[in-house]
Amino acid sequence: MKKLSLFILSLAVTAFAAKAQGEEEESGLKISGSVDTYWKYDLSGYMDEDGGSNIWTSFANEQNSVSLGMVDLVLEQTVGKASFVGEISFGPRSESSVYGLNIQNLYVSYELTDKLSLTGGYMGTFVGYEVISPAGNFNYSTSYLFTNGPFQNAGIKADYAITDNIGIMVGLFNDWNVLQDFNGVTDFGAQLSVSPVDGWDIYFNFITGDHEMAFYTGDPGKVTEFDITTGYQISDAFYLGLNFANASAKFDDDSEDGFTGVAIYPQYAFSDAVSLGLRYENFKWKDAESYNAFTLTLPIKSGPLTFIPEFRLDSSDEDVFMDKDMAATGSASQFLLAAVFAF
Amino acid sequence: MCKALFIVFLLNASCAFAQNPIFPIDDSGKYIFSDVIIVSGVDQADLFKKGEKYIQQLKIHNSTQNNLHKNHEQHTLFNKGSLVVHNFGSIKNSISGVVEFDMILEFKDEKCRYTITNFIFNPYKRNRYGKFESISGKYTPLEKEVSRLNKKEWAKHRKEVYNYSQDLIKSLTRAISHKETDQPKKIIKSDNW
Repeated sequence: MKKLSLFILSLAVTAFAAKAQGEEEESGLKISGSVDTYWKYDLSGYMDEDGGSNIWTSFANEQNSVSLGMVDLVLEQTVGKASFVGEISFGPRSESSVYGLNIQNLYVSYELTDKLSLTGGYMGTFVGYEVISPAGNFNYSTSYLFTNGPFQNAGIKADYAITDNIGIMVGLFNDWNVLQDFNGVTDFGAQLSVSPVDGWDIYFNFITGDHEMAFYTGDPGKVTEFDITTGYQISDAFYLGLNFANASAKFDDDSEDGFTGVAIYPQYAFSDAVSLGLRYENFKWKDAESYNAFTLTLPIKSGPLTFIPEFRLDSSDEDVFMDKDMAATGSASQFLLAAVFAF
Repeated sequence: MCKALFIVFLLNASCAFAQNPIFPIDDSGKYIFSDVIIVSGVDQADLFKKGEKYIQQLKIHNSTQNNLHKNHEQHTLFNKGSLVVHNFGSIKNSISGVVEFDMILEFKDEKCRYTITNFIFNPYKRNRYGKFESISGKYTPLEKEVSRLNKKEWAKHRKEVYNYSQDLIKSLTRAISHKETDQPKKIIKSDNW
C-alpha cells in the first residue's frame, strides 16, 4: 500500500512539473451554494428530550419546529489544467455531517491529459446515491443507506476516462469522514462508471480499509463497502434511480457488524416546475433490525427556490420507534415542508 | 414629485425587462439564424478553407467529442457548439446549464451561407464534489415554453443565446472576410511626424 501511495505521489509531482509550463485558459472564481430551512412534524407527536423525533436518518430531525438546514458556500476556480474547490458550510445540517469542521469539500485537481486527472484533498464521498447538500437531492430527508455510509473521503485519487462512456477511479483515502488519519492512509477506494446510453449512468463503488473507529463506534476494525448507484432518465418526464450497498466491519476483537440495503427512486416531472417522487428503501443491519421506508416528495421549483412538501412512513420488524405515550412501536411517520434556495 | 419619479423609474425598469429578443423561426417554428455573407473576389475553395478554420473552433462545453463534418463535394461544413448560461441573479457565474446548437456553413464563389439552429438546453447541477456537471438525458429545446414559475430564468437564457448568436455571426463574418497576406505590414518612418 505504501509503495502504491509513493508511486501515485511521484507520478503526480512529475506530471505536474512537466505540464506546468504551458498554460491555457483561465476561468474566474465561481461562487455558488445554497441555504435551506424546514418544518417537520412526527405524526405520533413524539418528541425526545433534545427536541428530536422518530426516524433517525441524517438531518432534519427536530420535531415541530421551524429549523435550519445549513448555509453552504462553494468557491471554485479553474486555471488551465489546475482547479480547486473549497466548500464551507454552517448550520445544523453541516454540524451533523462534518462535525464542527465546516468544510464539505477542499481539494485541488490537475488534468494531466484530457483523460487523466489527479485530485487530492477532502472530498464528498464517491460512494452512494444521496449527498449532504439539500440542493443535490430530490428528497429532503435522507435514506438509511446514506446515513450509515461514508460522507467524505480525504485522500488522493486518479480519474481516468477510458472512453467517453467508461471511466475508472482509484485512490488512497483516510478513514471515513476524518480530516486527519491517525492510523495512516489505509483505505483503498475504486469506482467504475459506465454510461450505456445517454441519460443512464451506473457507478460501481468499492472502499476498504482499517479504521480506528469502525462504523461510527469507538472500536477499531476493518470496514469494507460495496455500492452500486445508478440513475436513468427514461423519458423527458420519467426518471428512475437505484442504490444498492453492502457494508461490513470486522472489529479487532473478532466481532462483526454490517448492513445491506436497496433504495429505488422513481420520479415523474409534471412540468419544469412540479415533480413527484417516491423513495422506497429496504435496509437491514446484520443480525439486527430491518427497515422499510416510503418517502413521497413533491418538489415545486421556481427559479432558484425549491419548495419541498414530503411525507414519510418507516416501519421496522422490531419496536424501535416511539409513540406519543413513549411506548415502543414498529412504525413512524412524518410530514415536512422544506425550502431550498440554490444560487 | 418623489412618487412620480418612482413610477417613472418603475416603468423604465419594467420596459427594460420586457425587451426580450425575438428569434427568427423556420417553417417548423424552430429558432434559426441564417443569412448569406458576400465576400467579393474570393472563390469557393478559399472560402471553404476559411470557414473550416473558423468552425473547427466550436466545441461542446466539457466534451471531447468531435462533431465536425466536412463535405468537400457539396462544400458544406457542420459542427456543434455550445454556450454556458447562468442562474438568474447569481453572484458570480453560477452555471444553470449549457445550450448546444448546430452551425452549418455552405459555400459558393464569393458567398457563404450560415445557419445556426437547433438550440437545446441541458441543465447543470452541482455534484457531490462541488463542481457543476451536466444532468445527462435532460434536454429542452429553447423554443419550448416553460411554466410561469420559471419564465424569468428561461427568458434570461434566451437573451444570453440571442446575444451570443449575434456575436457568433459577427465573428464568422470577420473570419470569412479576413484577407490573409503573406507579406508583413510595411512601416515607413517619416521625418515629418
